[in-house]
Amino acid sequence: MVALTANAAGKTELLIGNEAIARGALEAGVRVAASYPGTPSSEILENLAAVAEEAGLYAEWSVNEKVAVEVGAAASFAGLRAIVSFKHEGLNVALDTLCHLNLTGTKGGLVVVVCDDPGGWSSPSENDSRAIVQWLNVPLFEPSTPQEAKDMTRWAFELSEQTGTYCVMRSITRVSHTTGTVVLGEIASRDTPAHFDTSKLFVFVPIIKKHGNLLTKVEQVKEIFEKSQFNYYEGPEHPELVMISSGSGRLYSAEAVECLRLEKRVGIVHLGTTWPVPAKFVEKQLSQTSRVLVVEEVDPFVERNLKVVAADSGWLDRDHVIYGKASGHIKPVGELSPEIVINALARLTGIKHEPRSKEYDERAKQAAKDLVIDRELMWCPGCPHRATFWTIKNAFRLDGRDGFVSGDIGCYALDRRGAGGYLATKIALAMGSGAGVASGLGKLDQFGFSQPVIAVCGDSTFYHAAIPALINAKYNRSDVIMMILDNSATAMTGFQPHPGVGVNAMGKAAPVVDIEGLCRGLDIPVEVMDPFDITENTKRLVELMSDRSGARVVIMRHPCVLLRPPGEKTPFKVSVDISKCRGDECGCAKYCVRAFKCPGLVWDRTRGRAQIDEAVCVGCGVCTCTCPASAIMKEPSE
Amino acid sequence: MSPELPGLDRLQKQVLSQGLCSFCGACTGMCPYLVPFKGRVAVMDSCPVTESRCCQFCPQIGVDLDLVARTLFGVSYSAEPIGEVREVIIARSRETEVRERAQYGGTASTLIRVALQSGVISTAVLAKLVEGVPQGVTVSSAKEVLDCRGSSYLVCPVLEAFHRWQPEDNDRVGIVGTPCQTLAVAHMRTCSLSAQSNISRANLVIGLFCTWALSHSFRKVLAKWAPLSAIRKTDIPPPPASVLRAYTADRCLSIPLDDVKPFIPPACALCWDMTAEMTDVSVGAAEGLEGWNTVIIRTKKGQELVRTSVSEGLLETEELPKANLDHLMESARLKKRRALQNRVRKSGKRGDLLYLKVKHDTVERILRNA
Repeated sequence: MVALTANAAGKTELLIGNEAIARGALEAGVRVAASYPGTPSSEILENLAAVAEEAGLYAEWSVNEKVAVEVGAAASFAGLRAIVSFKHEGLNVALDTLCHLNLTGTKGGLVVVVCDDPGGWSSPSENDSRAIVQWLNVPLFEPSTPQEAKDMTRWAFELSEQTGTYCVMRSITRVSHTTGTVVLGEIASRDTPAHFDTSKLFVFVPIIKKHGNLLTKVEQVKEIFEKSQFNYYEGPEHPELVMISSGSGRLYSAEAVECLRLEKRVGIVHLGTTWPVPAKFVEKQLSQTSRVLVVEEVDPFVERNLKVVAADSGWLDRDHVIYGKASGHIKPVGELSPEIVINALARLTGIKHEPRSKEYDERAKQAAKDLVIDRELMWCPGCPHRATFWTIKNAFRLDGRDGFVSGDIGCYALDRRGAGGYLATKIALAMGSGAGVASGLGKLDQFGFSQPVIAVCGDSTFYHAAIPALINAKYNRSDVIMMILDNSATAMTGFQPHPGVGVNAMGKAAPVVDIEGLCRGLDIPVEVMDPFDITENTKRLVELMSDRSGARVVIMRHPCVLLRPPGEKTPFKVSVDISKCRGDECGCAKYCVRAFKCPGLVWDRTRGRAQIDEAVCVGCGVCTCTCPASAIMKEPSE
Repeated sequence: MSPELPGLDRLQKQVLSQGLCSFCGACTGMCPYLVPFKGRVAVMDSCPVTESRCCQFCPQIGVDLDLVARTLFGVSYSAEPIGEVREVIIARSRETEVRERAQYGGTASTLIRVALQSGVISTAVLAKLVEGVPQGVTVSSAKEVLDCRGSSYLVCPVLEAFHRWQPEDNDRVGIVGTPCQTLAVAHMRTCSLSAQSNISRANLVIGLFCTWALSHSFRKVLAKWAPLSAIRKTDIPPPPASVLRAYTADRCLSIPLDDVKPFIPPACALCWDMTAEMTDVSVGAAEGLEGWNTVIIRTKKGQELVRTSVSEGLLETEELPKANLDHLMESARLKKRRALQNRVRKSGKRGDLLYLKVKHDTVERILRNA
């Protein structure tokens, strides 16, 4: 692959969707990029940060998505082009700023990329961002391929500057992480100096006027979208059915038409600009058929808006019908697949199509069994979070008051997975919510609440959204134990740096924001523990839980095991003395394998004893403290 | 209950969640799943073992008193108020270092010291206060016994130490315990999993009279008054005092019994054994005879130990005044009756005595007689 910055217009490259978005931004002459990491969006900023110096742009991992938008807005106010990217969960965090930024307007092109995760593969929800964007009333793009992602990004900057509002591009996992051919364009040279014109105001007042301006802009955008190259029809002249798609729905639709050989009967409309709806374009497409099937990811967003256009135009009646999620032809939850779309199309066209049998997935799993290792989603061997949650679980059991964890978003959420976790986490909402909920629970003692609660968050999450909750607990004298799992990484999203690690997004040295000092500055008692010191930590945690004395912070500090450089020796050589191992007898019952559940420990069925999987074990030695017979031993690695 | 249910689940359902646990420690010290902690048994994880020692050894699940009595004494369980008796006397230690800190006459300490010194046992399992928390400990010298004198009245998982003890070839152990603890030891001898324990090494069991014990939350009451580590002795003087007294080196605190009773674990209300009936010898207070113990000798082994102690000049004995015996019998009978009434009340059925297996006519006799 050529460098992302190569000025090689016309050259075709293989790019993943997020690289294509980054390329589109570079072609548009972007100067500032800000983001908070989260799958499936992280690669956009990562790619821009990697070429920041060369391309003369500034890239940062902001502490959260709201700040990222504000950083992008600042560049825009100063006349520069900026791109802000995050996953769909981040849109919620950024919303407070975005729902005023649409009123204040922008100057330099500002593009906000939101990457949705249909099916919630790497997310705590599969929320559809589009309804929020419609509510924000700003232009919305939905690319279907990396090529479109690049081209739309570039064009979105133009539109943003033309209309004075920011644009949102909704990508999805299957676009952001799909590899496709992309024809590169020119990289724009933009050397306009940043300057804030103090004769202009970027404020949300007078509100009524600003609101009116927004509506005017939307009408302006609608007219532009009517002629957009990203909205088009492919198919026969007089189709009996038209599939109207957005995002990757276009590809699934094309596959379904081809699979069922309906090229002469069914046409496909791709709607690349989905808000505001280009009504005239849509009406034209509707006029050529009496039946429409809408194919889109997650919510029936396009479907509902089409119905509004269809009703307004008088198209919608008993003989003119729009099918989709509301009609039950396409399931309303989870990610789309070609099979789902094929089944829907077959049903509507009367084509006989043998649906995939219900056993298909199981048979596929069986067929793949010998090819891939059967692995549950769980903490890595040597993960400090396993040690921490083992400690928390034990402390709760010893305490005996039915304690629980108010959790957060990060690798530690794997505690909720029975295969590897200990299920101490009973509440998990959003980033920073663990501490906020705990702060609330800490005030319920006056109503008889006596269960101990530990709020847990990661280091990156602490900076992101937990600090206000901690201040809230302090201010309101709430009894909260807040545990910050400091593994020196934003591990779950791919080890992007954060304010605690001393490096910025562009790889330059950065000041460390000391969590401990910050908490002490709030006059909150702080204890720092090594999570691997399980016995002492358990004892201390029980003491802390028995003492209801307001907000307290425990920092569990140990670097993520994946940060260990390849080839570096393990701390310990761990082994099992099988002459001591009690196996599945009363008194043990495979305690290490069954209860502690580190994947580095495996069960030797032949001998009925535990053993260390040397290919997996990273020698943390934590499991030695779980063995009732002291059969698991560790010695320092040579 | 389904026999397929894991033993730990049965223990939880039948004992722990029912408030029947007396915290004797019989289910602990054998595995990582059950851990005694601050006066309760903490269940750390689920365990799939169906035939489990924790469930079998618990004295609150299905103790067959007839079988236990036959195993110990060769006779069926009589349900007499103070159990099987060879001799009832009063005794007191003649060892100055024992009597200095003894609860009453120091008899139990001297008997266990003599057993260790004479080779009857090589190890003793005793209760000891460690920073104000009673714990089971194993000791192997007479000197170490001195650190375990006196009573805290707090429930103590003595048998955890018994299970943790790792004997060598000829080691024999003596256990000093309250009625629930010594019943558990006796019951263990009758269990099918007894071979997977140290019970075959138990060569001597000395019982301590007990009316009730206190949960560890009582420590908070004491801690308000003095550091727990400074409390040297706790005592309940005979009526009409109706107080519990705690002593430091230079102070004495009297707490009305009415303020103490809320801290009595529910299991004590169901216990019908005041004098630790399933032992070789049992030791308690001798009311009205300060500095003396009442001693119930139940087995030949117990008798020989007392005789040896006397012949070595370490223990002196006298006859128990008849009035004291009558009072002892009456107190023990009343405890049995109260316990049975409480059991019937808890189970809701006259024929359901929860874990106790006692002949129906015996139960009726006790319930009828005051």
